[in-house]
Amino acid sequence: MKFATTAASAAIVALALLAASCAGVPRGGHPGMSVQEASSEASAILSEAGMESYPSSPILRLNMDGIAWTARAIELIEGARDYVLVASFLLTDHPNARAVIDAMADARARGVRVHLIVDSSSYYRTYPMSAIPEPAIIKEVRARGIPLAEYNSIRGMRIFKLLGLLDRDHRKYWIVDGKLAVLGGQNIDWDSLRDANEGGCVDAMVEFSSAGAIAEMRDSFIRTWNSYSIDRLDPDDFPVASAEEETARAWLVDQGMGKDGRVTAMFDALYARARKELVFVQCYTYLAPALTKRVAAAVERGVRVDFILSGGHISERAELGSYYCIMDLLEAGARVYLYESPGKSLLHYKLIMADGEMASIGSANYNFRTQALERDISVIFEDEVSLGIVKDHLEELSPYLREVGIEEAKEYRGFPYLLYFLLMQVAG
Amino acid sequence: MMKRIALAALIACVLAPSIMADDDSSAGGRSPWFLGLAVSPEGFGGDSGLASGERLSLALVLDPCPWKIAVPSIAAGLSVPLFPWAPEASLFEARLDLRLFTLRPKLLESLYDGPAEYAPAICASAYWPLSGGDPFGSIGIRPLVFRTGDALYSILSVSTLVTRGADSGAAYNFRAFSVELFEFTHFFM
Repeated sequence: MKFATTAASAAIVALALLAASCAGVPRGGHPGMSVQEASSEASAILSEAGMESYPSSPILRLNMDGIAWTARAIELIEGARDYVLVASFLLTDHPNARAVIDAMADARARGVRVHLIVDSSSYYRTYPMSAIPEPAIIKEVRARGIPLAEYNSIRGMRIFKLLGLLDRDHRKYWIVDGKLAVLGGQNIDWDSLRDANEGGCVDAMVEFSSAGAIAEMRDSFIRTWNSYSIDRLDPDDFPVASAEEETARAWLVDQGMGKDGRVTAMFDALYARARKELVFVQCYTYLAPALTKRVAAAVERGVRVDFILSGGHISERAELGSYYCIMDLLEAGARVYLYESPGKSLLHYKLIMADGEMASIGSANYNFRTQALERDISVIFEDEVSLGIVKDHLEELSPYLREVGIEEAKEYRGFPYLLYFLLMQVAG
Repeated sequence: MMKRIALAALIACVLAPSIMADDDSSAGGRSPWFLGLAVSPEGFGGDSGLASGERLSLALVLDPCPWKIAVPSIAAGLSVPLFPWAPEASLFEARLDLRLFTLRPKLLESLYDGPAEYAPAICASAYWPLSGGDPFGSIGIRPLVFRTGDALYSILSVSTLVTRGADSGAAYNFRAFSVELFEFTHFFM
């Protein structure tokens, strides 16, 4: 009964939001565009949304699983000399998460300033396919003296925020000494940091160096921090170092506070850039009509659209809701693959690549919640070095991809799938 | 005079977002929040001339000053009789709060389970019955006010109502009071 009430309420809200999302008209791209025209249009779309490209290094490193990223995160913290700013959507218990926190505490002890923003959703995670909550370690981190701000805290006394509580900070990014930026899909949590061979995530944290992008990330971090903490920070106290080898360019897609609509512009830019092929690597897909229209429009002008979704999931609602949309993707003309690794990893990687020549990596999922109800951050590269690294890692997924046919997709259109699809529009 | 003050407060509330909206308002270590929505249940007792019962107050709160001492904020909104429901007896309220000082007691942070400030306040309000009738005022104390990142919480505030003392010969009467169980203000801009 409780489930039915919750689901019904969520469904009503989701339907209203879905209706609203129909206004998002897809734009960009038409048959016969030259590479130059497509590139210009993509740049123009991003520019109109307030995103100019920054001089940047190419991708310096792509950390693809919890073990690798844990080791690298600790290495970065241990190497920090001035400050480390970290935004992690989730902060839950795992030995690797504790190792990262230990490194942060050690860094503070030697005088490095460490600040951490986490989302209040950390209190509501459950272990995969289970109702048992993953313990959040927010209190422990505070008790160790690490300054922490909780984004849009979910508490009873905040009930009058009503729908405002749906706004969540889904970003995961790090700034180290104003020199290095890291962003992507990995949280400091149980799902992100455990071994991918034992059911952990296949994910991506991309490292790059760009003074312009880092300054924007720092300002965004501090704006968010000052919104939810009474211990104010000043951007001037966190200098950004000039990068040495900015041989490429990057667009930072930071849908931070007061910057709504940037992820939608990113989608449109990548659609506009694609003349032959679009590859989406996504954990889930909870489509809204405007998103499906974008897929259909691309297919109509001859672009092959591939969606690689996760075959492993953290909850029944996530799995059923995502699978419901496979039929919509197929009907729109896309091809859909499920990533099914022997270790039953969750494919948590969020990549969109156009023609193998422009790619976004970050925390943004291709869904309505990301467009309208979340803070997200991604970075777009288009240089050969960066794209080469991305393609190499994409190749590693291919042995475990299984194409989903129309008959299988039909099996995912039952009522529970529909219900969870609606629920996940706002709760995903 | 009171009407002019109320009008000025309302205009300030409406214009403030466009005047003060600044994408980089966190620069200099300030909170970017300055406009919020306050919700509170309240009631009037004594010789207030108002029907007894529970009222719901909704108000826009302008809180632009990033200070630690003598922090002013203004609010403008409606107080609507909820139980029993009588919208015709609604009041327009304009209020000035002054948070006297700011402390960071450990006990409060433990109770709230996060950074929070204690900032007791005094307040003065003016009310205009929407159905007509004489305006009146109130002065009061808000002894338990807590500020967190994007919210202000006030618990158990009391005010004494100030009415014209035509029948008693005094300039003003203090024969009625109002009690506000809580007021939760969440900033959205």
